[in-house]
Amino acid sequence: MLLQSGYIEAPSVDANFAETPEAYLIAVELPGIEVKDISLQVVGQQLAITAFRKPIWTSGAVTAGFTMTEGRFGTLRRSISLPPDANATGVAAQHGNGLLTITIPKTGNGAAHAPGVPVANVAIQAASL
Amino acid sequence: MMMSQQYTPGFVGGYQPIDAIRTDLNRLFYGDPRTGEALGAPHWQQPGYAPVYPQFGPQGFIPVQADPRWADPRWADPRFAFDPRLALDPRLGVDPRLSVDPRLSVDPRLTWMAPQVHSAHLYSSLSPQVNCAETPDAHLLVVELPGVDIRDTSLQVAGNQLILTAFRKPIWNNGTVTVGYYQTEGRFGTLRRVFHLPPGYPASQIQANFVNGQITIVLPKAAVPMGQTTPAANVAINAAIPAV
Repeated sequence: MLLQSGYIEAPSVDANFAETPEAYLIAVELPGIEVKDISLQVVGQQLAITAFRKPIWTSGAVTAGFTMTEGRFGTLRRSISLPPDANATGVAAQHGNGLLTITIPKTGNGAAHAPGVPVANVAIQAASL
Repeated sequence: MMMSQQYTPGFVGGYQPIDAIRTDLNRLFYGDPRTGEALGAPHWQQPGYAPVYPQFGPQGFIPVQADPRWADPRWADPRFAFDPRLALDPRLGVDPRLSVDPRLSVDPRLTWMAPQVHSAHLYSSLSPQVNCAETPDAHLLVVELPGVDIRDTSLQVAGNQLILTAFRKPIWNNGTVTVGYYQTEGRFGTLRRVFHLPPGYPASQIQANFVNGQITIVLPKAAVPMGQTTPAANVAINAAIPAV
């Protein structure tokens, strides 16, 4: 079952997809972004990832402006369509090492559409991999 | 053409403006004929206006016998014969006629610049993205390596090259679950990026911190000792736990 990546806005973020018999797994690449600047929402059968990457380099009290950038900065959005058998209420997320790892459990009853969730925020746990 | 000239007020004849220009040029080159003043060379060519750098600029004709450089007996010595291949590839060596290695005689403090970042367009799928930042004290190279284990990264200095190598496993890893990806958009495998340091930059001053999926390489703008080459060295990457 392919997880179709949804409408991609620019600038977007890269996501990698994996699957186990029990769950769908997504790893979203968000390097250099703090956990508090990431929000993960379930909107119906869609997964909405919004993050803000500050266009400055900070380390403690030291701040530096970028002279050249190749990465993406500012507000980054990505929405991913969930497959029909995804359990939208059981979405769990972890953030660590610049990676947001999302686990979406499967309902187990095949192609039957699981009831979507109107809007729900998913708590992101900090993980040190 | 001639019909249009009769309607131009104050214009008599066809060559008056050209004559005026020619008069000005004549005055410029030959002086003012009314005063008899002859203009000389412009002031910036007058002696004493600017110092003369004999090593720059077009040289005047110097007779071979008068040039002391030709008195060097090494010109006749075949050991110091110049190999024209050296002019094509400076890596082959230095002109043996030179008494000083020009690669070492350049003050690196004069050639200090931001570390050069090669564009990664050719191998973009294998190159991590780099962001450059600058503080008053240091240049920063912020390399994006999301999902890379710090044990799989290495930072090496070879000559004036700073080589960052990392390996990213194409595996979704949550600590407990380990699955291979079936669809990827990121960069996996061996990721390599090469930066060029100023000549003689000491590897001991380079710091690297791996925080939140990106490596920050700190290159302090300290004074660089003259005429030193840097042996190959490994740079330790410090792991720092991001504040949550």
